[in-house]
Parts: sequence; C-alpha cells; structure tokens
Amino acid sequence: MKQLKKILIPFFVCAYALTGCNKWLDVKPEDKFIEDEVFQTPQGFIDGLNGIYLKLGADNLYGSELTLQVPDLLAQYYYMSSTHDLGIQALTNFNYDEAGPKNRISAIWTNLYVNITNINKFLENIETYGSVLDEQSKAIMSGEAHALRAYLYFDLVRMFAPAYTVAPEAATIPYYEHTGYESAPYSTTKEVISNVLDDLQLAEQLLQTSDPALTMTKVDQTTGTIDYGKKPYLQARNYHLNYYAVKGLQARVLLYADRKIEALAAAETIIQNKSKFPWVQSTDISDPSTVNRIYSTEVLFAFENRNLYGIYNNLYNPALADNTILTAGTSPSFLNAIFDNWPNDYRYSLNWQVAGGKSYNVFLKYQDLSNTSAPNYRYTIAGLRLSEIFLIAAECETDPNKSLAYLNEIRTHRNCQVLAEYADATLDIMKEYRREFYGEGQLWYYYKRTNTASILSATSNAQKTITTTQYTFPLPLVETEPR
Amino acid sequence: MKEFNKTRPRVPWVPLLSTAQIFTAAYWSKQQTSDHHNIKHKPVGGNNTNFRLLPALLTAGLLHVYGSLSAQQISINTQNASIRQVLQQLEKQSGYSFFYKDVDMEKIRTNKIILKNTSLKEALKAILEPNGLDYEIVNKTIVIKSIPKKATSSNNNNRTDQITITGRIVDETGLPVIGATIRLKSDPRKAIQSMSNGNFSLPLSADGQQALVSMLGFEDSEFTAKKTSTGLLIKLKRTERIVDEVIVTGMMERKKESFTGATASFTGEELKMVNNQNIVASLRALDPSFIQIENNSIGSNPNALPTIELRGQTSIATSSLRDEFSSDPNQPLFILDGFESDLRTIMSLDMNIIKSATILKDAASTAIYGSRASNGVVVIETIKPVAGKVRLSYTSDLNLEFPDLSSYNMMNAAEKLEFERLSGRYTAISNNFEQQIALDNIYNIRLQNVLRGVDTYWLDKPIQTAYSQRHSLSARGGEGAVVFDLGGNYRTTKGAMIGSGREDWGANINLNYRTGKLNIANRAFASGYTGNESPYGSFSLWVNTNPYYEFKSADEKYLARTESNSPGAFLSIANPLYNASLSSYNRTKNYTISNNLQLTYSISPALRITAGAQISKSTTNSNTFASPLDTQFDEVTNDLKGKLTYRGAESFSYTANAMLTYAKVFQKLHSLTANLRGEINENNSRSNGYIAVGFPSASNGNPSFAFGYQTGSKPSVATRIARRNSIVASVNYSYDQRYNADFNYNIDGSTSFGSNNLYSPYYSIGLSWNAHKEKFLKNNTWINNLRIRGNIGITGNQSFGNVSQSIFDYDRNVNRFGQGIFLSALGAPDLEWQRTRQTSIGVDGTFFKNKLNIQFNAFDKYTDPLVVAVTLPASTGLSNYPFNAGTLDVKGVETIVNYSPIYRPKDQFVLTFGLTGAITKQRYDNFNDKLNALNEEMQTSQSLVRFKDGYSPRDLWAARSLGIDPATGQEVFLSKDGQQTFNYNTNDIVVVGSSQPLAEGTLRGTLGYKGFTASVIIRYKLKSDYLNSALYNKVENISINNVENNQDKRALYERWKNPGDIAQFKAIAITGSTPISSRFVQDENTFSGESINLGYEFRGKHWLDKAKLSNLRLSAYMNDIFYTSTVKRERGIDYPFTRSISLSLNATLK
Repeated sequence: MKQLKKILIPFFVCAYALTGCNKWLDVKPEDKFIEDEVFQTPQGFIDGLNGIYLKLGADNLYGSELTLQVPDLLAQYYYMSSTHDLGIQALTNFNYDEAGPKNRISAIWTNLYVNITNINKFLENIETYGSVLDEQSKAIMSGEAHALRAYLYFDLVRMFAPAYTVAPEAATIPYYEHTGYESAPYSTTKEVISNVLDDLQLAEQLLQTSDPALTMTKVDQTTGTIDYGKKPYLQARNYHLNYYAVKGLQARVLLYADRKIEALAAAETIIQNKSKFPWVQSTDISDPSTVNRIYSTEVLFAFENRNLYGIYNNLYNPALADNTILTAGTSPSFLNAIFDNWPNDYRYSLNWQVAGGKSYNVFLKYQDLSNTSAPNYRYTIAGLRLSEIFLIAAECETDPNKSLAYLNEIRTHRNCQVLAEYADATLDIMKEYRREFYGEGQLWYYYKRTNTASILSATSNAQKTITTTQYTFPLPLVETEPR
Repeated sequence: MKEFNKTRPRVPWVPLLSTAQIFTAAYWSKQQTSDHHNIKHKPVGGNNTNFRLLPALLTAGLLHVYGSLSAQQISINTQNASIRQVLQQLEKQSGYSFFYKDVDMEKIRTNKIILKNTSLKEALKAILEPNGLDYEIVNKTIVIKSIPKKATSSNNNNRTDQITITGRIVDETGLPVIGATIRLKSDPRKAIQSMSNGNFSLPLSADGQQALVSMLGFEDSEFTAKKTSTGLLIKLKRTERIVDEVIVTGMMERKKESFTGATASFTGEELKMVNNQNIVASLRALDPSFIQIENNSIGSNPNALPTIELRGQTSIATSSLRDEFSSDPNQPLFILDGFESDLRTIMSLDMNIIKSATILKDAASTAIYGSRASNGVVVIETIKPVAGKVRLSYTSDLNLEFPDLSSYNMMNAAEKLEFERLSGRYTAISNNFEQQIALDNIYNIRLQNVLRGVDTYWLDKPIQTAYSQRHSLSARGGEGAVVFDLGGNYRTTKGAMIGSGREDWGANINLNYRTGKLNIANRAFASGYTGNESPYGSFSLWVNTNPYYEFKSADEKYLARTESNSPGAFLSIANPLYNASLSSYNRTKNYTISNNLQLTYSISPALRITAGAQISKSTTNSNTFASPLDTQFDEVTNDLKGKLTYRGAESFSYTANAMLTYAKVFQKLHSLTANLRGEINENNSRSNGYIAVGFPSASNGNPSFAFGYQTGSKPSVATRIARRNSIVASVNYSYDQRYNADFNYNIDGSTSFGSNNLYSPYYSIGLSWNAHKEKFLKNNTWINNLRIRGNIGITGNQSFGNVSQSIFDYDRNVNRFGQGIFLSALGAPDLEWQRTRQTSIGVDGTFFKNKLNIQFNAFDKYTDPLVVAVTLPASTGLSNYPFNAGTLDVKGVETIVNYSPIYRPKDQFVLTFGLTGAITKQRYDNFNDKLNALNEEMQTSQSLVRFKDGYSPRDLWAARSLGIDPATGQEVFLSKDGQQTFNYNTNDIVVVGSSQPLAEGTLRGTLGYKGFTASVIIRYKLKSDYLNSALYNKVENISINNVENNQDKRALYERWKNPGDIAQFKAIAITGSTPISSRFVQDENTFSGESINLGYEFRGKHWLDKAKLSNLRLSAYMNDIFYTSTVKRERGIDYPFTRSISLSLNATLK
C-alpha cells in the first residue's frame, strides 16, 4: 500500500494541476470581440457607432437595395424588357408572391430588424458602460442611435403597413426597444409612429446641446482633407444623423402621419438654416472629372457604400446587356415625360446621357468620378436631402404663394424655369418628387402616402394602375413561420 | 506439490495492449532448452521480460521486470526448512517459477542454507548441486531435475530430443495458432506459449500429465502430454467472435463478461464483409443504432460527409450554437486508437488496417467521455504490430460505380414546351404589345426545335461509370523487444460525375518496444487527400437544362442566343458543356501528421500506470476557381472575369493523458478494477481565405495572375482555441464473475462551457448478472450464455461554441470614419449546458450450442435541460437564440438476432440469418411549464408552436390540405377549427406526419463454407412520412423563374388546367409560391439492397506455395444495388446516387 501511496499522491497533484487551473480554460477568442472587453474604451463606442452606419450603408439596405433598387423598381422608374430577370419583372408588377420578390422582401425585413437589434444593443451598452465617454460624445452617440432606430422603424412601417392615412390603427409590425429572444407584439402604425417621434424628440434634445453641425457654417466638407482625429463622429456630420437630419426626419414622419402643421414647423427649422446645406452650384458640376451628380452639399444625411461603383457596374453600366441594365427605356420618351421635355434640367442633362455604346440614355448618377482623389463625396447615397424639406414645406404650407416659393426654390437650383403659378399643386409637387429622387428610393413612399391610383411606368410609358393593397408588402414567412 | 497447486483467479481486466502481443513475448523454445547451462544467455529476442508464468500470463501483460540471472541478489537464511519453502523464498525474491517433480524433491536435504546477496545462479548451484540435482531454464522457468548421466550430458542434441514433448496447435482450418497458453492441470502456474508456427515443446517432466490449452478467441482444450514420434496435434475451436471478450472503450479495455454497458464490437473482417470502401457504411449495416441520415442532395458524392446519429438525437441542431470549427451536435464521438478523431479521417481510413470497431451506446460505456458522450462513442482500433516473422501483406480494392438515374422523371422537349406555354411563360407580364411579340418569337424558335425533333436527354451528359482503386501494403513482425508494423495505402476514387473524385493516401509506422515492466507503443502516421468536385457543377444544372435545346459540343458557348440589340428578344442560354470544359476547378487538399505515444508501466501485479500523448497537425486548403471564360462572366468587365476562392485551414492539437489502474482479485471471488485517469487537450484552429478576381483567359487560376481582390471583399480569418480537461474515475467490481457493478465519475472542464461554469460532472452506475454462471443454469445444455445488464448515468454534449457573452465582429466594409463593429451574436449568460440522462437495459444471450444469438437493448435518453435554439421571428433580429426550455426524451429498443440453422464450425460450414432493427421515439416534454412563464407573444409565436409537449423533433408540420378545388385550381386548406379555406394561414399548421420511421434495420444472410463466404444485407425502413421535395419543387411551387428549368412530368400531366379537372396539384398557370401542405407528405416504406458479398479464401493449395503466398483471398461486393420505395421522388439532387460493384484481393506473402 505504501507503494500505492507513492504513486497516488503525485498523481493527484498532477491531476489537480491539470484541472485546477481555471485560467487555462478561460480562452478569449482572437478573431472576435467580447462585449465586456469592447466597451471598456471610447474606441469601442466609436467602432460600435460606425458599425451601425456601415451596416446601413451596405448593399443589402440603404447602400443599394432600399435606395437604388426595390422602391424605385416599384415606382416604375426602370424599363423592363421581356427578357429581364423574371423575378425583377414580377417585383415591378407587384407580384410579391413570386419567389424573387418574396426573397428580397424577406431579406429587407430581416436586415432592418437585425440592425434595430444592433442599435438596441448599442443603446444598452451606452447605459451599461457609457461612463467611459465624455458628456458630449455620450449625448451625440445616444442621440444618433435613437434617431437611427426611428429611421429604420419608420421605413419598416412605410413598407409593411398600409399608408397611415389608409389604416392608422392596423396592427402591423412588432416594435422592440430591447434585445432579447422574446418577440414583441404587433404594434399599430399609429403606435410605431408615436414611438418613432418619441425617439426623434429624444434625439433632438440630445443633439441640440452637443451636435457640432449647429456651429458649422457648411456641414458638407466637399473637398479638402479632413482630420477625423480621435473623435471622427464630430466630423462629416452629414454622414451621421445630425441635428438637422433629425429635424428633417421629423418633418418626413409628421407629414406621413398627416400632421402637416408640425411637419411644416420642423421643415422651417431647417429652411432657416439652409445655408449650412447650400444648393448645388453650376461650378460644382462643370468639371466632368469631379462632377457632383448627387448634389452632396444639399444632403442632410447620406449613406456611404464603398461598393457603390460595383453596384453601378451591375445595374447601370452601359456595358451591361439590354436585358440586365436598368434604364428609363430604349427611347427618351419616358425621360421627356417626367422632365416635361426640358433637357436642361441638371437632373436630366447630367445624369441621363447616351453613352457607352448604348443607343439610349443611361443612368449616370452613381458612376464613379475620373478624378478620384479630390472630392469627398464619392460612395455617397442620399438618405435625406434639402429638396425634400422644401417639398414637405410646399405640401404643408397652406398659403399657395409661400408654397409655390418653396417649390420654385428647388426648380431654380435645378436649372428649371420657375412656375408662375400652380397648375395643380399636388401634381406639380408629385412631378418634382419624380424628377428629384431617381435612384434614391423616396418616390415610392410618396405614391404610397398619397395613395396614388396609377403610376407612370417606364416600361410602357403609360399609367400603370396600382391597388391600395399593392402598396403594402406582405409579412414575410421568416416572421410568421420561421424554420 | 500440493501447496503450489493454488489456482489464482483471473484478474478481471485485460490491459490496453492486445493480448496477442503479450503472449508472443514469451515461449518455450527449443533453442533455449538446448543451452540451459548458459544461464546468462538472454532469451530469444534479448527480452529481459520474465513471465512469472501462470499469474503473469493470466493477468496478461502485467509485466514484471526481474534482473538477469547472475545479477539477481538472493538472500536466504534457513534452518531445517523444507526444499519447498526454500524454493518458495527463491521464487518470491527472484520472480522465477519453479517446475519440478515431487519425486525429485524427496532427495533434497536442506539442513542449513545461508546465502547473502548471491546471484540466483549461485544460489541454485548451492542448493541443488549437493543434492544431485540440476536445473534448466525454459523460458526463464527453472525446471529442476536430476543430474543426467555424464554420457548424455555431453550430447546436447540428443538430450534436447529426450527432454521435450513437442506438439503443434492449429485452429479449425489447420492454420497455426500463435501465442496459445499451454499449462499443466496439476499446476496451472506452469505454462508456456505456442510459437509463430503453432509449435510448442513441453519439458519431459510433464509426460503423462493433463495439459490445458487456452487462447483468447478460442475455446479451451485439454490433452494428455505424451511423447509421440510426430508430435501432438491440438486443434482449437474458435469461439464466436474474436474481439467479443474485451470491450475496447478507447480509454481502457474491459472484460465483456463483467461489463454492464451496451456495446457492439465488430472485427475488421466483419466490417470488410459489408463493403470495402468505408467503415461508416459497414457500421450502419451491422448495427441498428448507428443511423446514417439520408441526404438526398449529396447523393453518392465521394467528397461529401454523411450525417450520422447514434440512438437518436440529443440536441436541436442549429448553426447558431456552432462556430466554424465545431461539428454536428448530434454526431457520435469518434475515437481512433485512443484519441479523438473527426468524421473525415474515419471516412478515409483504410479498411485494411482496422482491427476492430466498437460502438458504445449507453451511459455505462460512455460516461468516461463525460461532456462528449451524449451521442455515443465509436471506438476504432487499428491493427497493432504482432511479433513473429516479418509478413508482407498486400490488398487491392477495386470499385465500379454506376449512376442510378431511375428516379428521375423529366419532361421531354414537347412536354416541356407545352408546360411553359400553359404556365404563362409566353404571356407578357405587363400586357405590353412589343413584349408579347418578343415572347412569341422565343416560343416559335423553341417550337421549331421541337418540330425538328430535338429532344436532348441532358441527364446522362455529366456522368460516367466510375472506376476506383485502392492498394494497401503492410509489413508486420519483429521479434523480442521490438515489434513493428509498417504500412502504406493509396486510394484513388472517381465519382459518378465526370471529374469529381478524390485521392487518399496514408502511411504509418507502428513500433512497440517492451522491456521488463515497461511497454512503449508508438504510432506515427501521415495521411492526406485531394478532393475534386466535378467541373460539370451541380447535377441539378443538367437536370434543369431544357430538352428542346440541341446538344452542342464544348466549343459552342451558347445553346441559344439572339444577338439582336432589340431588348425584347435578347436571349442567351449558356451551353453547360462549354462551362464544364474550361479550366475551372474546385479542389481541396489536406495533409495530416500525427503521433501517438503510449507508455505502460507495471508497478506491481495489481497496479499499472499508463500514459499517452498525441500531437497532430493538419492543413487543409481549398481552391475554387471559375474560369474567366465561363458564361457567368459574360457581362463583367475584364478586370473582374474569373474568380478564385481560397480557404486555408490549419489545426494543431495535443492531448496528454495518464491513467492509474488497479486490479486485484480477493479471495478468488471478488475482483476489483479501478481506473483513475486525467486528460488534457488543446485544439488550435485557424483558417483564412480570400477571393481573387480578374484572370487572363488562359489562366490556370494561379492567384499571381489575378487582377485584384473581389470588390469590397477582405481576407477572412477565423481562429479558435478549444481546451478541455477531465478527470475520470472508473470502478468495476465483480463477484464470482456472476454479479458485476460499474461506476464511473467524470469531471470535465471545457472552454465551450463559458467562463461562469467551467466544470461539469458526469457519472454512471451499472449492474449486470451473468445468469449462465449460476449453478442452476450451468448444467443447462441449451443456454450457452445469458447476461442481463442495466445502467443509468448522466452525460453531456459540448459540440457547441461558447455563447455566454455577446460577440462583436468587424464589418467587412470601411467608410470615411474607418472600421466598425456590429453585434454578431447576442450572449446567453444564463444558459445551462445540456445534460442527458441515459438509462439502458439489455440482454445478451447465446442458445442452442451457439446457434441462436440474441442481443436486445432498450434505452431512454432524457435530455434536461435542453438547449433550444429556436428559429425566432426575424423581427427579434436574432436568427436563433439558445435558451433552456423543455426536455427531449428519446426512447427506443434495438435488437440484433442471429440464427444459424447450420452451425458446424468443425466442418467450416456455417449458415446464419440475421435481423437488426431499431424502433425509436422522440418526444418533447416540459415545454409548457417553461413557456407559461414567457409572455403571451412568445407562446403564440409560430416558432415555438413546434416545441410542445408530446411532439417529436422529427415531426413534419404543415397546413392540412383538402386538395385542389376543381372549379378554380386553387388549394383548399382545412383550418384549425375545421373550416375550408383558400387562404393559407400559418396558424393552421399542425403535425401531419413524422419522418421518424416506425422501424429501421437490416436483414442479413451469411454463408461460410470452407473457404467460401457469402453475405446479403437488405435494409428496410418501415412507415415513415416523407416530405416529397420533388413534388414540392418540381411539380408545384415552380416560380416564374423556374419555369425555364426542366420539370417533372407530373407538373404537366397532373396539375389542374380547366374548371372541373380533378387534379392533385394546383393550377398550372399559378407560378406564385405554394405553401407546404399535407399534400406533399407521403407514406414511405423502403427496401434497399445495401450489400451483397462473395468471397473465397485459397488455402493449402500447392500453387500458393509456389507463388510464395501463405494466404490469398478474393472478395466481390455489390452495394446499393437496388432501391424500392413507395415514394416516387428524385434521389440525388446535386449529385446522383450510384450502384457499385467492387472487388478486393488480399495476399499475404510467406
């Protein structure tokens, strides 16, 4: 037995050494970050905030799908040949039941909610670990995050719920303020809008005291080098949901909820500060190598997608085959119709040219610049621009003269003749929407908000009728029947 | 002599080393007896090991080191002790055994012996010589005898003949039995071993005595030792199975007799009787609990890995709980030669080097694996070196595979065009006149083709009759302390899709070194493979290609193309053969080197220490290259044409373990075995990859020709360090070999449990009763063996990643502000890990002189808490999130019955019919309580509807269908409250069937006659429900895009067309998606010909001698030769299934 002891004791010692060492088992992953480590420094929050913007600017959301593609296909902006992808044709024909549209709608729903979860988690982390941030940073980050959440919920409601004016009380989408596996109840459009406005109000309060945009003379830094420094979120504020963008979003939401007076008030806040977002000048667009086709100076809030020119190559590049390219048609008749036969309109003359071997006009708005070093507005897709604020003001203003002035201010800066008077105020405003938002995904929501019964189609160059139900995407199966 | 005549009971365990190895270490050779005077002479092979004969042999492997004869220090001080007492002392001090006749002993006078620190040689001389006695060393047993007369002592050769009784031990077939133990009945401690040719020689002193021959795997035999001129010939009868007697658990070997767990063991030969390709297919045919889930997509792709389950599921398989490097959480654990291995390695393992495979099914057998044990364990041992003359052995396996396309039922050209027309393919969506003209144009072009008689059968274009071969060569042998096994194998496999296939190679060096109490075994092996996917792509591409296109040679880029620039008519259909002919490839290469080292040291007969270590390194690279000429790059600028996707993965792992084993028999009745084992393991994995684009036309895919990385892509890197440690205590107690008890306790630590609970305990308790050993059954003639066993225990499952904390990841994009992180996984800090309570009872019986063999098991696997990673509604932002809810209960019975109407092993004639079967039921429970605690939304959430008490994970959920409305061609559903409705509502989804078959198993017939063997295995699967995806995807639910693909004939003939039609499938013109309904769920009963085998072994033929062969064996196989099912469906979506015919040739050189 002595012998046994001699062996057992070292054996147990060894065994203890092996198992007793908890440190040995506590392995931190190298290729990812664990929450309680990430948010120990302000850098974690900087990366977290930028991560939200990066995700939103990706191809599957505002980097392409929700700006260049789905809403604009629905708004009949693009010409469909009979051999275009049948899934895309089905989408332009509002056949949401077909596999192609179904998958796209389902992906939009999922991606928007994934980002909402990401934002909710970011807000929770500000709560938990926010003490590492200074007051200004904390206010900006919290404010922007609330505003971003509002932005996404508002778009969800615009896509998946009937228009507010049609059915404000319909239970539509689930609303989450926290992360977790418990699914939320379906809220009515009214409730969601109310939550969205609350978020925006909170964002407004937080940004009012902290946003450097308030003291900038011009928010867009079109050219020159920018030192982003240790707090990059204090620079290039038009690529963040800044104070003015929050106000603009308020105006957009309030108009959707048919609260025109409040919408006008919000719009006027921006209009008073319009010098911070100056209208595009002829000098901005005269040099072909740096032509500012997206009028970046006017953009209140923009998304950035570094893959934008890859997307351009897949959608609009004239080298694409006739059954793939997205254009306004094989003849200029549709463009002439929406630009009222006025080819000098900047939006026509700059962005629609016969080029690249195609016999018809191709869409150049998102073509890369030949001079890639000078301008700071490459990769940019507008999320909210000054012209929409003016259009909102024009629509909400009850005084027709004031209203017309708002509209004419846009027209002037688009190289169009001013209107002496409204022929039909609603129609004139709609036409301006149609000219202004090619490739930005806003026209569809205008049609939906106003419950327009027929849309001018690029495919047939004729009015295409649309029913109220076709304005609402069906809830995807990933929500109702997850597998 | 009587005092020596104590029989010591067998110590009830067999150590890790195989018994064959140990036995060969010592034998009583002629050579040794002849120079018995030279006691310094080392035994053959220079082996210092001395077997204290009987006890040592029976404890088999508890090696005792004793010094050489001359060095041994002996001290004896006796007064008037009897010679026996003196010898006893000598025995004790030296460890040598003595062998003598009582008659001789009477002569001895031992008045006073005082020896101090003398060598054994001198001590013996001092004691024996004065008494007129001499001794000889027979394999270090000291045989005492009278000094022979001088005349004969000068003639060594003569004397040798006189003092030995020679004989030979053979098996039923006449082949020599090596390493059998021969001992005298009068004194069982006196024993010797048969040599490599089966020969043995007993000392003359044994003349006239009864001797007993025993050998593992053979029945004991008795004979009377007497001198004959030709030598004795003793035939041993083989017992049923060779590896039956011990259970290899991968950590320790256990005697089956006293073991309480449910296991199934198969020898390499048994496995190879089913097929010669891979072990997984064999295990599946031989054991009903080992189930391979059919994967209809991968078919017979040689590069694909199967999904395997042992006794049902313990987890709800979800990807969210796994990281890049973890495996299927329902897959059993594979242990190869004592160390964890992966399915890929097991699949490519050379069948010819497998010694045995053991399936451990229940808690008693698997609890030692603790957190890895819930899905069962498959232990595979490779052939170990065997001492003896070096034997060269060669095996060649040839295999032919024929694709089986009989399940496809595709339309011909005319049918397809008509289907397209009826489904509205040629009606312009936008009611646009211009477009209608364009569509009419396309229709007319296709119609012309049909009228011209074009009807191409595309399915047979990418396939071939595939020919594969494997060559294995091995050399085994060695004598004395060092024995070795060198082997190499090479296999080249061609797949049924042209260009797909793989090459596997492997080489191993096994060395065993034994010196005294220490045994060292080292196995070093290197292996690798190259897997190629077919450049022809997915088989579905060819199935989908329309028959109205003319077959064109690979030079033609398009099957159809209109170059006209009028947008309406533009059309281009790529020629799949063109794309297949390019330099595209999809190749995976792997190299692995491993070294296993095992040390065994015997401290005392009862105590042994074992230590093992493995280091392993593997590298896997996969390259997928799409040629820039491929039609997918038609519309892409030159700098983006061509694409190379590279992924490299490296892993390095080490494992070290140490085990202390104590085994002792008390008072002949109580035998106790205890093991204490510690193990640590670390697995380091790293992978990286990139996508390069823009290749010149003539490129072979070398990334140095690439223009750059894919736009927006970045290198992808993943790393993981997984660590694990465990302490296992295992105790086995047996009373009189009749009542046995097992106890295992295990504490496991793992990086995957999360930082809050690093350790988790697991345990099991088992009992068994050997009824046939009871007195009242012992004399019963019809029960040969009857054992009842049962056990219960807790095991775990760690095939999950660490999910306790939220994980953030860098977004692959950047913007002007730099990089950003996003939430990639939400942490579940309170998650408790799964624990499975396994209960198992079983009976093993052999009846009617081994003619009837029955194994029956019933089991219950109860997993609580269950980790449920339900697919949550997408709006939660979590694709699925793990939480603890409910339990999963798997109950089942399984049986293996073998009946041999002809059982005449003596005549080498055995005919056996076998049946294996398993019935498994899986059931969720205790969900309701947990769910009541959640909020109302959660309860009504569709995602959780399926997790309700009483339902099974294999249930099929769908809305109930009442068929197609003859008036409208729309589907009529039955709502939950019994209403008929056209509207599909996810709330109406109920269970409409279960994919779990009522019973699944095999029927087997085997015949062995002389050297000839034949076996047939047929698989049956009864009463399961099957969601027929062919019906769902190729008859209905054909989207407007998919109308362009060729479809099942039923899509044309059995769909509703006109009002009044009674049809099974909805209106042909509806291209919108169809929800899954009960219409697509069908009853399935399946029979398939899994294996037919014929073999012949050439023995005792003169021409074998001439060819210098000792053995030649030929086998032929037919696998998956037929398949019949009540469900009409397509089998092999991305890769066709095959029928195969194989040949195997095995030759062993003399």
